[in-house]
Amino acid sequence: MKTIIFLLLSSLVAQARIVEYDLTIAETRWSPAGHPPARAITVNGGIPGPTIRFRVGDTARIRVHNHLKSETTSIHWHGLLLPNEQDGVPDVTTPPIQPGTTHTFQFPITHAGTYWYHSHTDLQEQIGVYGSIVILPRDGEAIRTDHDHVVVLSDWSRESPEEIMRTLVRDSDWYELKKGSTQSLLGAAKAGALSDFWQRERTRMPAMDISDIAYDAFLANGRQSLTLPGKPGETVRLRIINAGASTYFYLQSATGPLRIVAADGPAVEPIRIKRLLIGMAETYDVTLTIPDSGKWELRATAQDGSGHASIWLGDGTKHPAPEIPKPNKYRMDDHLMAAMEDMDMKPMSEAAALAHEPERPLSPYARLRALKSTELPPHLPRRTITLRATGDMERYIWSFNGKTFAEDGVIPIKKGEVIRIELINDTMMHHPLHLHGHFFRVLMGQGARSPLKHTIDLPPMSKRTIEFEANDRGDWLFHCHLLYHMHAGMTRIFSYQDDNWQPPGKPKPGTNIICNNICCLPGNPDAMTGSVDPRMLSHHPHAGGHDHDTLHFLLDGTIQNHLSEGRATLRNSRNDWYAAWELGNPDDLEYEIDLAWRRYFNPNLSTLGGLRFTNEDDAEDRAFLGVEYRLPYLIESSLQIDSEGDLRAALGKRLQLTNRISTFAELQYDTGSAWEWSTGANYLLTKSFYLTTQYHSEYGFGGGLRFRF
Amino acid sequence: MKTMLMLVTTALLASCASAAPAKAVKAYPLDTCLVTDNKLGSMGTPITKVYGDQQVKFCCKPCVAKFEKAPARYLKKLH
Repeated sequence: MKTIIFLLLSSLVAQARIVEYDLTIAETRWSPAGHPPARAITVNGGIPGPTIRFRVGDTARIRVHNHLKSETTSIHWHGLLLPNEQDGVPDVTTPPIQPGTTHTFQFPITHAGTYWYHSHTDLQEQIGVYGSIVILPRDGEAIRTDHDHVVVLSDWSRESPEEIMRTLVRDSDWYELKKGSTQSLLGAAKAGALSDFWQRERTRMPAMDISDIAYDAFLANGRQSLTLPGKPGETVRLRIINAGASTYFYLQSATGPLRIVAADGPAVEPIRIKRLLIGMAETYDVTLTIPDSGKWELRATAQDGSGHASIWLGDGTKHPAPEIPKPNKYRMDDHLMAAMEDMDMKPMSEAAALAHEPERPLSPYARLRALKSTELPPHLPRRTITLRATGDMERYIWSFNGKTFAEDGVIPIKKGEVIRIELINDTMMHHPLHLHGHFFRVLMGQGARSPLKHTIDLPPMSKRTIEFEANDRGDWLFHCHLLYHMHAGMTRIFSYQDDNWQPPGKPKPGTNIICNNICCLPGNPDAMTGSVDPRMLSHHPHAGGHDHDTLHFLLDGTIQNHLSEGRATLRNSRNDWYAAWELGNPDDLEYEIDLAWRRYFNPNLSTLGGLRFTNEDDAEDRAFLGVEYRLPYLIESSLQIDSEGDLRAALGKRLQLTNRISTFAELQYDTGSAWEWSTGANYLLTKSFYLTTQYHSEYGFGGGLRFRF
Repeated sequence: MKTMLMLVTTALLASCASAAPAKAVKAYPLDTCLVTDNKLGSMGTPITKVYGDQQVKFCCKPCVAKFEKAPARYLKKLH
């Protein structure tokens, strides 16, 4: 009897176990070995932060200390099911953690698996605010191994993430050059892909790339080369977490196929795979056996082939993992075909899957199978929502259904319904889409055993269908986990509308904050902008800073011995407010300066209106209206009419000849000043400077420097 | 001047126009690709083909090949 009571008490005590951690977020200068240090933000002094470990049934109590001088921060517990106010998204669910303060999170640990945590504030995740979470089942792992290691993959740049974002917004050529992925006429000729090159130009498709950013290093647990403990003949579980801000990785081991035993936390029926594509924010547990002798590499290669991180196991002679061929940048059709074949993939035997595994496989979702039924209650009402991933690489606008988060941020849902989301990717990039606070079923042919995930890769021009039970309350983010896409607008909030739910607690005097004995969070927030009529929402999600349409200042111009021209622009996602100048004939300066507003509708169409000031002969200052339209072969055309009754028509074309050299030509007819034309070439020197030479019909031949900031 | 404006206008109109179906041909009723359901235009200028009396539009070249392997499977979407 005493034994039984003891066991019961022990069980209760075990269930009530509170596991505490302190995470300190602080600024430092850091770099992986061999690189110059850059600004970083660390968790407990390291990149990545520490692994925090729990067992199902524990209660997590985590104090997050913000030691930053002037920045707020946050921590989101990625993949965990927890109360809404513990989700850690600043302003949306949880107040931002102010500098010099501590926020205590407390939540029950309800499910096992490999997860991670990261900042959801601005772009902090890129520079180090991430770490891993390991949650063991109550009785330990069903699949036992000799070793159990966490591997956190990430990408690192010596540039600040804010500068990376600006570079993306101004459509710079620099990252392509740095990665060797520039698409040029000469490159296409060398690759035997001239017809593909001209076909792309004819159909008005800009050159597309697999990834946006050129990183300086790819890391595994903060190192480019990581050695993990393990002896010949031993078995190893690797808990792989892709904490990259903007990098998909292919994983391949020199030891042979990897055995996947868990995906995004939950265990799955084990499958073997030679090459595993892991998207940002996904996690996979894989097992392997170290061969009898030698040191064996598991390589995480960036999807665009621009680099890799190595994980070594064993000891002795090195056995590198196979090289993964670089993608053919001129044959985007190949990538589309791969996505289409994947959509039609039928369940097949493991042997067949291994035998037919493509060189550049997509995620193995069609082969993942849950250990037990994941079917949702059949009596619940079903509702289908279609979300199209949409984007515009030239202006770096990323959105769902053509609208950014600032334009249409809320998807109202009700507790007790099953939300089925049909995801269609209308872009040429992969998007890893993450739902906070819920697992969704990935519907790819496994029926009742469809796997549960929190993040799903949506390949270019493809479709996926997921579903989840709306069984909670509050506001939950759904977004692309490519950090820069999320901040450019590919984000939504699923907002429960069941009642006027407010976080429990008392209002903090003089603020819009409600505090209880655990934490403080936003109360009765303001309505968001967007197409959902606020009157239809019984609960208005708080957008925090996520719905800002950021303004960027861009400068692009030339200084040459015979002329200077360029444009200074203040830009948000759909508007340019700019001052454009053309100054010529240094001996007797002529100028034409436009102050204008350009409204951007899509890559092919914009309108503009503004004022033009000039001292040219027989010309007056004037107002003008115009339209810009992109013609086949990416020829830019414009037509303007002005207050003096003159019409101006222009055509322009830029062509990339080699990796560094591009040529351009412009032709203009103005009824007031007749023909004007120019042609020239640029040679890319650095990220911001080009050598330029130009012949202009009025000012003659010359050369100088082009700058882009 | 007139010639220039005419040329520009013609070029603009030519790029806007899609291949007009012949009289007996049924116009394509969707704004999405018949194979992938992607928005037409998301992969550049859509490709237009006529199969029997039905006009069909595709987002990209690989979709044409995929369609032609099993046209009935996709044409069902139009009925």
